[in-house]
Amino acid sequence: MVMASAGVNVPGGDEVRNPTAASASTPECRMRRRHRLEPQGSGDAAAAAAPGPSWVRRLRPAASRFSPSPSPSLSPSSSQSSADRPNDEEQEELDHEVEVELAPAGPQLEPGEAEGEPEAEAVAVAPQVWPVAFGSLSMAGRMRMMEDAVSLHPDLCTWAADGSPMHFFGVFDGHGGSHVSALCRDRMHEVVAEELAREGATFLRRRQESAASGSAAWSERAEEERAWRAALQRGFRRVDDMAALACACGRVARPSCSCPLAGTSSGIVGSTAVVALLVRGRLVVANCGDSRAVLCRGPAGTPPVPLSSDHKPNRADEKARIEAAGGRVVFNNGHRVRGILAMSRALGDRLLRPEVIAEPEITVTERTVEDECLILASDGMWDVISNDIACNVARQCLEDGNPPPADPTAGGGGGAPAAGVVVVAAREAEPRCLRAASLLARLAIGRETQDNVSIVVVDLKHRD
Amino acid sequence: MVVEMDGGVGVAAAGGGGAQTPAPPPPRRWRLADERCDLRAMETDYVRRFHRHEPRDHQCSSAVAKHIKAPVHLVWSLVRRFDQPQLFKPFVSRCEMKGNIEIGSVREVNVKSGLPATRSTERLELLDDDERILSVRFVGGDHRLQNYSSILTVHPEVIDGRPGTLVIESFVVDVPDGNTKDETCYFVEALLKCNLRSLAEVSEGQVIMDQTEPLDR
Repeated sequence: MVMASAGVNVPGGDEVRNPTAASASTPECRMRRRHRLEPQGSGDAAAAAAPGPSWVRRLRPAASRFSPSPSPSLSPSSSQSSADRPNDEEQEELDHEVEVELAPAGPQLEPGEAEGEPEAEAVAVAPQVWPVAFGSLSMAGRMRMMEDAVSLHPDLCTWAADGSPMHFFGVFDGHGGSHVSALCRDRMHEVVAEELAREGATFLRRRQESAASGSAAWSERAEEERAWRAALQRGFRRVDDMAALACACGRVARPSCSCPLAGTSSGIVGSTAVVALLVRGRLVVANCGDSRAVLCRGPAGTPPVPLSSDHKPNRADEKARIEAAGGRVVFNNGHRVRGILAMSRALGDRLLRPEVIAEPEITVTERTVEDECLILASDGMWDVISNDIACNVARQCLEDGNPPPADPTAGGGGGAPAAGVVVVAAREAEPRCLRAASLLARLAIGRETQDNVSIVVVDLKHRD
Repeated sequence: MVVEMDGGVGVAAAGGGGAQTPAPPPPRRWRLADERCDLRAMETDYVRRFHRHEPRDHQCSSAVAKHIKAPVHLVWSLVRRFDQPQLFKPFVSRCEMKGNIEIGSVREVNVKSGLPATRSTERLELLDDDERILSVRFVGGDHRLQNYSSILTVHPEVIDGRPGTLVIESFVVDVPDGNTKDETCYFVEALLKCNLRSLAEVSEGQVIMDQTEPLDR
């Protein structure tokens, strides 16, 4: 029944779209996206300027309007390539269309979570619908300057192969100044989206060539991963190139900026970057520096899964790379490249090249229905909160809707009580992701972290 | 590799002659900021004349040099600003100094985040505008550079047929607990190289800006 009705609607959609010029619809989509992004920008600014909640909302892939359009053109070619995967993909596409039909007024889905029908539908089709909800919090902590930045861009773009939404989340921990982390916050998602579009086009072309040649070597999964990795690598490189042109006033220009700050404060300024792309049932994480991404798997007691590895100078392979580049690691209030910088990879930091590079390490992880949440945070949190404790705190916040005891001991050793100043007063109405992030931040402050703290919590489960 | 001036073996004493040093010491090898070769004769002579340190057993000493394509008066005008090191030093976020720049002045330097210290208290030991010599001593702060003292000299030269500047900076410092002399020299040299490279960029940038101004101005 559902399949049949969806099938009937697809041609209808085409007929409706035919009179409209393709070029005309594109600006509307862009305007819609730009409009959607504006509140998030202000939210980020609020988080960076003063401690406080940032933009929070729950998303479902079905809310995307881009999925119907690729379906007709893709179905014939996908059916020709292989028997099993096209069916799965078609089912996902059909599910999206069903969701759209059930709730044709898109805006109604975005403000809240009260709709009963979408949730019921989502429950019925799980695990083929991959939910995403998120919250974040940043605070300066005991540092005088706030140099962290957070970037939240759900529904950043769609993957060319099947129109699946791609969600972007990033944490950037600046040092020596804030303009490189601010640059990452403002530009990284745009650059990555451009590279994903480029890689998507390449992917489609290669798939067609493979199908035409009758090659049996084509692996959809491997090729997709290759494309996503390439897009992230190029994205990081492009933002790092921009950092070299960035003035301390925040402008990126060639020739050099002519403001009074030009030429100064441009040497030892850089940022970490940990970025997560969520697409269908996969988590793609790119990391450069010592921020971190951790996957919290259920049920309670399951060990957390690190999705990134900190780039510390005394990590054996990093130390070897540094020394091969002619540098040295010297202990100076911690292991440091040249005795100066406590991380081995960062965007910016021109004066510490070639030892300090901006190349990300990328992991691709398959989601499971048991996954609880994804945590991205700067080392201001990870220095004082272990992966286990962070996951337990987040899990309890997300499951119960109520904060757990101030210092949970499950899964980790007892730590110092969170006796610090209460920076954020949790409100009952706030989404649980934000509550998890704010509780983790409060715990980090209570444990006397000395650094800025930035935390993004992404809920990977449907919760009533 | 860096040859440390340690163990009391320093450069030849002024006027000492052969009487004090029976056997002449091997020639000193200094590492240039951007070149891995011996200093040329002129540079070695500058070091001998201006950069005398007498490190003790627990100290190390070394020097770095940088050739800058900018006239000497421009470079000196930057380095002599004891009250505003952030003009060219990439590690400095803020500096406070009261009164005029004179021998004995003390400045409070705030260091940028992410680096192994947050502040440094520094005293101006010598400022010679005729010979273009600047000497600074660290007298406080949360860094690990105890009894740090540096000498910076600026010398005119010609690079590619244009006025250029040779900058030499030498230092002596205690070796912190847990580090070797070699490590300490390497670290301080790394700091000084960053400073000199940034100084070169700022100076040469100003030269470019000057050259683009109208000729009739």
